[in-house]
Order: sequence, then C-alpha cells, then structure tokens
Amino acid sequence: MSDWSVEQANAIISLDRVTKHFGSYVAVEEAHFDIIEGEFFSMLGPSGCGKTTTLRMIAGFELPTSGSIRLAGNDVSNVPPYKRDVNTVFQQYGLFPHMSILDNVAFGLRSKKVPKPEARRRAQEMLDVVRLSEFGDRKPSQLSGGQQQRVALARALVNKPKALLLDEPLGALDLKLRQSMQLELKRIQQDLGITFVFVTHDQEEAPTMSDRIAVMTQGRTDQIGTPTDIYYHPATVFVAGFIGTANLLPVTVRSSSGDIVTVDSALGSQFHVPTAGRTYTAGNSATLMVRPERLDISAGEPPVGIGGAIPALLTSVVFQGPVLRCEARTATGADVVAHVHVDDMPQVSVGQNVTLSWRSDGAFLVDEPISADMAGVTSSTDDETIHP
Amino acid sequence: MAGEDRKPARLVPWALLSPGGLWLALFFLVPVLALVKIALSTPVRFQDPEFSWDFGNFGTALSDYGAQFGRSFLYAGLATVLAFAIGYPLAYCVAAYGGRWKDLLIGLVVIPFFTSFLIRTMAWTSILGERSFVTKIARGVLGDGFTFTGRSWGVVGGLTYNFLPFMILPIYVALEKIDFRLTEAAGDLYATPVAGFWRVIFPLSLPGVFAGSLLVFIPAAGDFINARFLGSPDTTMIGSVVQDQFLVQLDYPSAAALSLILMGIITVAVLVYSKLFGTEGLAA
Repeated sequence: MSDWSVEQANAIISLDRVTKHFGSYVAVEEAHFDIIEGEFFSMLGPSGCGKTTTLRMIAGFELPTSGSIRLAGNDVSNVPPYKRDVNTVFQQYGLFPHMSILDNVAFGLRSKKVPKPEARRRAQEMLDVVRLSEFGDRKPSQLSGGQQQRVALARALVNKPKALLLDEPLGALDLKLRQSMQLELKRIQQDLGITFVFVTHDQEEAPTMSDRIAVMTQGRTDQIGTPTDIYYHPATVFVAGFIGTANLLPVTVRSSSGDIVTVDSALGSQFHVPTAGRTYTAGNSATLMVRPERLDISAGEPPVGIGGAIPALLTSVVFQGPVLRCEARTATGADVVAHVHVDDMPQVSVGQNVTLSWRSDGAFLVDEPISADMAGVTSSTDDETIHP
Repeated sequence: MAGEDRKPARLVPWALLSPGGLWLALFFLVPVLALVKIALSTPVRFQDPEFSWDFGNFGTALSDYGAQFGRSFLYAGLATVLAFAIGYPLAYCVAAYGGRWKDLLIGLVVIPFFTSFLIRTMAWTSILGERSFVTKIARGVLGDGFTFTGRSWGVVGGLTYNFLPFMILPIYVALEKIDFRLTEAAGDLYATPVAGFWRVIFPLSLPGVFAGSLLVFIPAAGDFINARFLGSPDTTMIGSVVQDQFLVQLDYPSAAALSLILMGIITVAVLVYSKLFGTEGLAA
C-alpha cells in the first residue's frame, strides 16, 4: 500500500487509514491521503470503487468503520454533517422543491442564523457568480437541469465551506452542457480559491479539471497524482487501462541502473525504459505500457535512437481526421493500437509487416504483472450508467 | 385541420363530466334543494310540512341548539388535532423507515375498517365501560369517580379513533412522494435533523395534512354515533340532534334547518382553512 499522505500543514482534509464496511462488503479499504487547501481534487473510478462512499464519509453522511478524518486539523470522524464545515453538491442536486431559488441558496446561511436580509443579499451575490441573477424568485422545477446544477453549486458555495464536495454533479447533463460546466466549475474554483473534491467515473472529465486525481478501484486507492503523472506513469495495470488507451506487454525486469530499467520481453527483445523515479526489483514480472500516440510505424528497420521496437502485422488503418488509428498484431498475438499523424504515416498497407517503435521516453514500466491473454491494447469503455 | 375539426374535441370534457355531473345533480343538488324547501316549511302534525318561507326554523335551531353546535365543532376540532398528533408520526415512521414493510404496515392501519363503524364504537363501550378493567385501573390512579364513557374525553377519544385512518392515509401518501435524501441536503446545509424536518419535510407534507384534517373534521363534526355510545346527554353533538329531530320528533323543518346550518358552517370553515393553509404553491 502506497502512502500518499503528505502530512503537510496545508492539508485541508486528511484521511488516515479510513475503512468502511457495509456488512461483509468492504466499500473503502484504508483510504490514506491528504487533500491540499485550494486544489481541485478528483476521485476517479468505476462504479462500486468506493469513491462516493469516501466522499460521503468526508461529508459526514457515513461514519468510517475504522480510521479517522481530519478537516482543517480537527478530527471530524464522528461529527454529524450539520456541524462539518463542508458542503456537498449532490448528483440529483437535492434542491428543496417548495422553496424559491433564492431561499434554497440562503438555506445554509439561515441555518447559521445569519439575519434574513443579509442571507438573501449574499445568496443573490452567489446567484450572480453562477450566472442565475434573474432566477431568484423561481421554483427549482421551473429551471433546466443545467440551471438546477448551478443553483446546487451556489447553495453550497455561499456558505464558504472549507471544501466543496461534488458527487458526480455533471452525470445527468448532456455532453455539450457537461463540457461547458467543466470549464465553469474550474473557473469558479479558481476565482473563489475553495478546495473542490470531485467524484466522477468519467476518465475524460477528471483530467480536464483536476490538479490531482485519486484513481480508485474495488475500495482501494491505486494511485494519486497529477493528470499527466497518472496518464504517463500509471502505478497499476488498472490505472493504465482506465485512463485513456494503453498498449500493455508482459515483461520481466532484468536489471536496473540509474534512471533506466532493462526488461526482457516474450517477443525476444530487450527494452530500456526510464524509471521516472520508481524502483524495480530484478526478476519481477512487470508490464510495459506504451500510449498509442507514442507509437511510430515504419516499413522496414526502425529509426535509430529509439527506446524499443517490435515487429507486427498491420491489421487495420482507420482515418480519424489528422490522426490515423492503426491496429497491428504482434508475434505473440497481442493487438496493439497506434495513433499516427497523417504526415508521419509511411507507405504501408494493411496485411504488411511493419515495425512499431517508440522513443526512449515513450514507454513506462508498470510494476505489476499482467497475464499473456491480457496483453495488447486496453481502454475503459465509457458505457457506464450513473447509479443513483 | 380547420376549425370544425376542433368542435368535437371541445365537447370531450363535457362528455366526460356528464356522468359525474348528472349524479351530483340528482343525488346532491336535488336533495339539498328539497332540504332547503323543508327547512322553510311549517310543521303540521301527522302530515307533511307546509312550505311557507318560514325562516324562523333557522333562528330556533340556533337558539335552541347553540351549545350542541359549539360542542360539535369543539370535539371535532380536538379529534382532528389528536388524530394529527397520533397520525403524523405514524405515517412518518412508515414512510421514512418502513422499507419493504410499508404496504403491510399501511394495510394494518386500514384493517379495523373492515368492521362496521357502529361495531367498532360499541367495542369501545365495553373496553372503556364502567365495569371494564381499564376503567378499574384508571380509577386506581384518578380516583373512584372516574369514567371514560359519558364524558367529553370519551367522545373525543372515540371520534379520534374512528377517523384516525383518514388522517394517516393522505399524510402517508404525501410523505411517500418526498425524496428523503432532501434531509441529507438539509443536514449538509447545517440544519439539525429536527430543523431539517420542520424546514423541508413538514412543508412538503402539508398537502397531506390539509386533506387529512378535512377528512377527519368534516365527518367528525356531523357524527352522532360516538356521542351516543361514548357520551351522555351532556356531550350531545349536533348530529345526534338532527337524527333525533328527523327520526324521533319527526320535526322535519327543524332537522333540515339544523343540517343546513351545519353544512353552512363547515363550508365557511373549510374555505377559511384553505385560504389560510391552502396547498396552492406547494405543488412544486
């Protein structure tokens, strides 16, 4: 288990080995990390990975089975939600249908006994921030889904919480609206400087907005890092395949020297891979990962100065605008995908033997074995429906 | 698609209204008009009353039976408040925590109603009667003179019991429709569970409370069974008076005048009530 706890003074939320059981089901297993003040932090994973449960424990709707949660330095593990200085934007928004938009937004301030005129004034200001100035008198049912979403955001933000928790808030919106809301959320987060903790199963959404992402699966936190870090240096095979598309090959670590690790491949070749600060143990099985856009195709001998090359049979080429999506099969039967720019494509045709190569920094070694039948291209399909 | 195509469509609502409208006209409007006619008649011994524009019946009815009118509305009002106090928490628990037992639990509320109203009220006379063990236990605490029956609280208790389901069911239906995750949202916005209930759940359930209190108050105000079996001459309600005038005294004009006054007062009360606590604007 990796330790992502930075133990820094600027941690606004600290999870210390937080575990949650529902009966015999382990929803969250030893979540152990810090969320830093002012950052846009995402918890990303497929449904059932424990991301929402973790968020609900931070909000106080669920109590951890073991471990503790600190908010701005204070242990809040057993503090009820109404005494926690965090606010949530719910997946279904949870607006109060009998109240006007303005009263919805003023709700939290009224709970804190802020006098009515001041509460309404501040609520109106927050409606301005989310660009709904004119809608204060309406009822939630008179607003579109995207507008309700922004009301939910205003209702939470008006309380100036220590952290804003967002539970798949964009899941119910259509693609176009979702993309504009992603930018809007990022803008608001930067303008207000409030810590955002964002839960999503959408592996394209998280990197767009986040400063750091925690990738979770089956209750475990597989990796925490910046979007680039997670994309190019995944800690596990799951992370490699969940974020974007990855070509994975089973390899064995032969030796490690300095910042280069040498691995043996079943394809009969030896590759040199940058360690990017990781350490590997010789003799271990590991997985070589190359992103499709880092693969080049050449008709004959690979160019010099490359990090690695494998022979393969070109099986398909699909034109996708400036990029060609090329599929090829290796001698071991693994299917590999390369995204090649139109201008870089050599004169080859489907059914021809080609060489797939990558530059020395184009590959990464994931310190986790992969079975031979799992080798080849993998990517998460975005067909997951949202579970309420 | 010219104008003439719309003509038959415009008739559809009227066609759909006609069975109900006819029913109301025949069995509500005609009897009420008949009642008005009788109320304005002069009684004639051993014969049908004579129509005479005699408004005096109304005056006598009010002056002779003012106490019974007052008692009826007092008892009905108390029964409504009690039914709300008992019924709301029950409906809330079933709606919020009933889970898969919801339907069964609500079914249990209705089951006693498979027996007749009269039998159920009679049963209370034996449970709470002078010689019942319940009364004996109560006497141990409240003194020898204590009785349940023959007193106002006996009547109010009976009314509350008999009309309780009419309070529970509409409140339950209203609560059932509420997304209880809203309490989570309220808690997230610093409202304690109690504050969250009063600010979110209760206002959303008001249509049910409104319907339930009308369904209890109106029949309770006109009830004559409970006062008869669980009360005494001191607790007579207006329903008993009407019944007595119609069936025993055979003074139809007085009975008709009393009924119309009761109807009038209830109508005004309901209008005022709905103006004050009406459900308009709640249906979001």
